[in-house]
Amino acid sequence: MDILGNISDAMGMPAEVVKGALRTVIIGTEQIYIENYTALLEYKRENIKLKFRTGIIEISGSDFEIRAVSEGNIVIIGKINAVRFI
Amino acid sequence: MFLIKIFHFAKGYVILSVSGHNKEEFLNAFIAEGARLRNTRYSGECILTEIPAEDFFLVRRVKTQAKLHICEKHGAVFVLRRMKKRIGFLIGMLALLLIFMVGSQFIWTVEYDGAETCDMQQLSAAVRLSGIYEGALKRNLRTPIEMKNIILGNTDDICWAWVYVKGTKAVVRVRENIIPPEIFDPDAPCDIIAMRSGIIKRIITRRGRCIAAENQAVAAGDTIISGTYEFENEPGYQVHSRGTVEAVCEHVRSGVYKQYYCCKYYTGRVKRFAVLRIFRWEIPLSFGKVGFDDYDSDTKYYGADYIGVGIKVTQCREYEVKKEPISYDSAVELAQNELEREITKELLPPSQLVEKHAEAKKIDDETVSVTVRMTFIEQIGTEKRIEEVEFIEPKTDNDAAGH
Repeated sequence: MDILGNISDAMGMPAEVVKGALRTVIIGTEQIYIENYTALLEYKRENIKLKFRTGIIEISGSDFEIRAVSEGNIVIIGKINAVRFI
Repeated sequence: MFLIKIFHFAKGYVILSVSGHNKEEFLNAFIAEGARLRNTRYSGECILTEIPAEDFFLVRRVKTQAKLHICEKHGAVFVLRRMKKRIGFLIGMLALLLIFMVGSQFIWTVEYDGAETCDMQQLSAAVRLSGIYEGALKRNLRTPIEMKNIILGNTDDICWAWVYVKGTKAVVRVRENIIPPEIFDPDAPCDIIAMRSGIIKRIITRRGRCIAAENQAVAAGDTIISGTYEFENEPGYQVHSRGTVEAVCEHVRSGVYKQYYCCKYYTGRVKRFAVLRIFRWEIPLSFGKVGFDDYDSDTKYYGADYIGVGIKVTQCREYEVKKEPISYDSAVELAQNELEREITKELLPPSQLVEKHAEAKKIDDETVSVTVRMTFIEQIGTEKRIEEVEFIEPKTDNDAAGH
């Protein structure tokens, strides 16, 4: 575990704040909220790939729409079938 | 959600179409510049995204191979920018807005609800006195309780009233007094009189003095049982007469009828006339005449009561009257039924049918005259109050001798 990881663990601070880890909130099967992504790699109706610090997250489903996006935060709506970390 | 839309409209936004290669790359770069994108979606091969107007110029900093195209511009910022070139229009719009803002501070329509039999002139005068009239400033209206008291205090037939102000419309809701039927004091002197002309069949006198005989013809208003007792040598007195009077009454009705049915067929031709109502003024929006010989009209009002503006649409539907011939017997039968229904409405219950007779006479090929005579036994007696008379003791022979 890296130094930041140790500090955050020791102080009980959230990793997404200290380490910039990916934070994913899935609401039902139709909305997903992601924090701390770094780039949008692919955007299609059925597939969205996002890069984050340590990997790639792939969301599959249908009728995807990016409800809101700003630096590091994205809200995706649509029918979510699977979320995969690559 | 609606508030968010209003907020977005106030700030203005642009719908940008991104097509070609490296669309995602452009989005990443654009976001990295600090742009906030909303409702990003695919439309065909393009990506459509909404950008706040203030973030739009960040697009200049992005170097991209993707093709960008502004699809739509929305929001107050763009509307005002367009308006800058149309000063006259802008002034007109502002003036109109001002007129509506000022106009909506007044009452422009007064409606009555529940007033059916009361004196409308008196009611509208009372309502006016309470401060509700066309052109009244809403700010100066009295409290609902005060208005109610004024309306009730200045009307005779109203037992409850309330004024509802909805935008520029005042609805005066009233409840009318229900007048109870006149109840005779059982001790008040009264006669039994005939309500209708007829031949008396039976009189049952329970109280009072019967002054008519069976099989006697009486006219409406004739006294049958009198409540007044007069004596030659004693003072008279009056009573509350009671009794039942049955009489044979004849009802005759006649009319001229056609030997065909009139049926209405709509031709499908419709004309609509619109009238714009602004506050209390009406401006016709459609000109010309109806141009139909026979038509039904139906008027509907579509209005925004809050600002006192509405459109009244009158729809005129043309129809043709076609004659469907019927036989002489059918025409007589239909006429007879109609006349019998008319007679039945004027009967005094309980009534018993004694005899019915119909006469038909052909006037021409398509006209027939029908007369129906119906005889009923009806209870024609009704109470009629009599003014109390002070009976003076009749003079005796001794009194006369003394003077």
